[in-house]
Amino acid sequence: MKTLTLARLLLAHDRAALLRLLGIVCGVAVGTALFLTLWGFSQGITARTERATWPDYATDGTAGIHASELVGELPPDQIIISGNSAVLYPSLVDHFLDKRIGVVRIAATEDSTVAVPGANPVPRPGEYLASPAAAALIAEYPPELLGNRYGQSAGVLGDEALGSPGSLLIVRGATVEEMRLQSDAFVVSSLAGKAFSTSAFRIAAIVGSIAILLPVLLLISIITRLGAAQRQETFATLRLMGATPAQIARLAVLETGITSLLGAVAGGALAWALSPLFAQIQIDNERFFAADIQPSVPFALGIALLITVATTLVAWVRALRSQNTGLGASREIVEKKPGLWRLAPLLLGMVTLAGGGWLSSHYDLFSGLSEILFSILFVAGFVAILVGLVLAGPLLTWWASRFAARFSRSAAGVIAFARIKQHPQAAFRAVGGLVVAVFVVSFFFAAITIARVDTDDGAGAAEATDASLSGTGDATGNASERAAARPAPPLLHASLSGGYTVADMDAVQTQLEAAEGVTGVVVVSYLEGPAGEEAASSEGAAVIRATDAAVLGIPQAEVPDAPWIAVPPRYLPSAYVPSDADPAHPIQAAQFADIEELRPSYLLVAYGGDELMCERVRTTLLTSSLRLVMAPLTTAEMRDDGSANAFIQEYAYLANLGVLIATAVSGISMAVSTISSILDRRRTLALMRLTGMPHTALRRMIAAETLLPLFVVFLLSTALGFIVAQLLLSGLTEGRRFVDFSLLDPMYFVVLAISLLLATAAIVATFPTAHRSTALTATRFE
Amino acid sequence: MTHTPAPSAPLFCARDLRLSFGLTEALRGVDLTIRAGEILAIMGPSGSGKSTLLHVLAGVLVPAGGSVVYDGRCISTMNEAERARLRLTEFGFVFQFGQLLPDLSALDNVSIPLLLSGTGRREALARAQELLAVLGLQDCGDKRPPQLSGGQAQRVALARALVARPRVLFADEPTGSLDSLASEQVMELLAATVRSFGVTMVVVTHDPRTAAYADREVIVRDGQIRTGFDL
Repeated sequence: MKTLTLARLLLAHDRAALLRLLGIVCGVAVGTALFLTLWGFSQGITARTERATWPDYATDGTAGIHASELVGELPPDQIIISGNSAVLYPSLVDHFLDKRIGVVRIAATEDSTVAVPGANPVPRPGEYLASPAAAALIAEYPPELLGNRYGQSAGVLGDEALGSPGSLLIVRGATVEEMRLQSDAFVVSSLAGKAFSTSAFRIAAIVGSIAILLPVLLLISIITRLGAAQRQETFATLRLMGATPAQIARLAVLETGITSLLGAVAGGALAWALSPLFAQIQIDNERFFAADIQPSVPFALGIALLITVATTLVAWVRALRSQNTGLGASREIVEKKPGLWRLAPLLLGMVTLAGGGWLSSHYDLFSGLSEILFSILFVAGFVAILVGLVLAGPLLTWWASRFAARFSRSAAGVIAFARIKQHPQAAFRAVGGLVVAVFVVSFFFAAITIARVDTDDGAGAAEATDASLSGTGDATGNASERAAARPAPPLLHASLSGGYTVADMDAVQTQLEAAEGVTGVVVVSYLEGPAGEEAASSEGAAVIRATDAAVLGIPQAEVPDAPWIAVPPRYLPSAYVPSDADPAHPIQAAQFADIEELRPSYLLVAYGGDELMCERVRTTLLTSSLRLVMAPLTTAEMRDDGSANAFIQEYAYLANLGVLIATAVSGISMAVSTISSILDRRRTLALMRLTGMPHTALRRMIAAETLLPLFVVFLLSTALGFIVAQLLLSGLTEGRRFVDFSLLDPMYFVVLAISLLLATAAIVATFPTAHRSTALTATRFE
Repeated sequence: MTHTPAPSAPLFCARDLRLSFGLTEALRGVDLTIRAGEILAIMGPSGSGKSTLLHVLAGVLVPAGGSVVYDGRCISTMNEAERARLRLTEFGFVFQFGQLLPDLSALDNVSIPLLLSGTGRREALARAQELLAVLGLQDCGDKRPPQLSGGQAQRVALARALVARPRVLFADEPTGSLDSLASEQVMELLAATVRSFGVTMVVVTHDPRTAAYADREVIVRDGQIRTGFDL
């Protein structure tokens, strides 16, 4: 109680001390809010996948028997489900324009006791429930483009069925008889999803969290040192008056404990209040429900308590270790010269990362072990590098300051570089957050250049297929020229369920060709072997009518004079082209004894017009009587063009977001640290100004004090980011792949420029405070 | 900078200086003339307004009323930048404590005023080293302020104040933080140096032993000059 009274006395009327405490509260609040938000995201992803995967685990064949095996009536405690949901089987979803829509079909009795997430009651045959986002999409377009695919709307799905507010999911009602014919329909007695995350995502999450939390920890460290010199004087005076070191420590503990607790609680409230905003951030192309990323109250309170205890403990140790004497003055706090050992963790991390890449590429035989080993080594190496950067920073700053001091010509430079030389840790601490952020973003953008190379290769392969598709088949000709001359028509690929005959398809073909937008239909069949299996060789296995060749852009001159022709896979947009396929294999007359040997496998439907016409034709196919394995896909959707790019773009977006958050936090750190260093030298600098030092010299001094470590940071971080990416890539590819600087995303430079601007803004923002703090009156009333 | 008027010519002419801090009247109609080359001691009890008077004379504070004319120029009507320039080029300052930048060596501390006024680093360091030697600190150039004794620190401060060859040196309690022996040594050096450099010095002190080194002494009490006599 006496300590509390003393603390109140010391703080009363001391505006600077109150501001310092307010700074600690704000810093701890920001740190706690970011920590809880990151934790919230990790929990949110778990909750989201657990909720969204309910159809997947029911339709993966492990939860129940196949619908065709159902004997008798469907009992009330069971339902039949077949699903094209979006999470586990992205290739099975329906498409509309550039969106993917998960479609789940359910057959249940009127008195079914099986709970279907978000669907109460379960839609009847011919009806559907749509997620809010899907319902909005359906309402936006004419029914013949989208809505007709699913039947009659019976309402909106509840959130408990959805991963995110933007999830596009349809739950359709179906009859038991319909479901018996579905290849992916299963009888189950309960529906539940499972949480999962890929190792790539886990690694990215850990690295990203550390990259954001390190600057926050540095910020808290800087803020709690705010006004350290002034406090040292106060404590020294108290010691002179007879206070014991334990009493001083208790005072510091009380002060830090209360402010940290306030900050941590405020941080929890901040995380909760900002969760609707953070929920808009997309991970895996999905936003979040705000509730998913809101930490629970007990957890938030627990973290608040933990942070309070940790910061209080640090304050207690710092107070005990502080060098107060009983002489009424504190000895100068001298920073030790940074030792070479500070480079060790950085080097260790680089070796670990490079070694991890090499090891994992040399032990493919143990592929499972290799992935685990790589994950462990990658995370360990990366964390060692991040920590190593923060540890090595002061040493490099010290070296740079010695170099700069030697060549400095101005008073501002001499003062600034001498300051950095004496306080390299404090100088680097101000920009330490930025070093981490810039390193991570540099590493990321350098590493993904290799993925861009792969994507470009893929695009090249796709172009080659297009060329073959529309080409003459003449291996000696120029494929690109042929493709330009005869571009392939836009096609929809519709996979057929088994059981169709050529005769069945003749009727379908005639019917489809009459539909609006359809310009041609090709039935692709495969020759069935004696035992029902497809022909062993893929060359010439696909058989189409010779009259349909023109639909695929095949010139008549290349078509043999026969009613049925065997087409090599390179002519078909969706066929798998074996790596050993003969590029010169010609189109030949199909050889079979009986037309019954042909098994129609899929349709290629050509459509004229834009993408809306494509959707109209897709809806026509989906609402026809055809039994399809999955929703029809365009050629681009079949190839899943751009999925790698989308993946890269998403992680690039997250990396940019992370670096901007970290930079913003670092900007605050820089501003606080700069002001703190000014306050600690307030009297001296005010006296310098009194003796005639102009404002510009003071500004230049502040700028130099911050810009030198900032310069070191940018050089170090960017160079190291590229080096580490290089080490990793060359390790993983046994030296075959390198970072390609020409493929660096321009966004990288934009992010770096924004980071620099934010840092500069943080420095400039301190000028008015520095001006006020070193006012001439400061020399009189200190 | 080395130009010094004849000893008898008035360098400063302050008339009816008035300045308040809130409700407290720090200066209440002060008139003071300071001749070039003289050493003037301003004495008085704590809170009498002697430091305020020094700051007004040096252009640190702007009086609410009255005027300060220095070498024909009215300081009290100059803007902050002009006054800063004047302080940098023509005045030097020595304070009681805390005036040296703790991160800089003694040599760098002394060279700062020269660098601020545009002198090259090499020349600045040479002149600083020369002055430190004059003040008996030739071996202390590499030491930082925390490594110096109080007397040494004050001598470094004196070197810094004089290195730009100011015409006027303002000293505010220059021996306030020193013991009597060190005080005496510093004041002897201070007086001898300013006389040899031909510098005018205004020293604020409450210590008669310090004031004894001055040519003239004025006493400030309640914001007014009560008495003044030549020694």
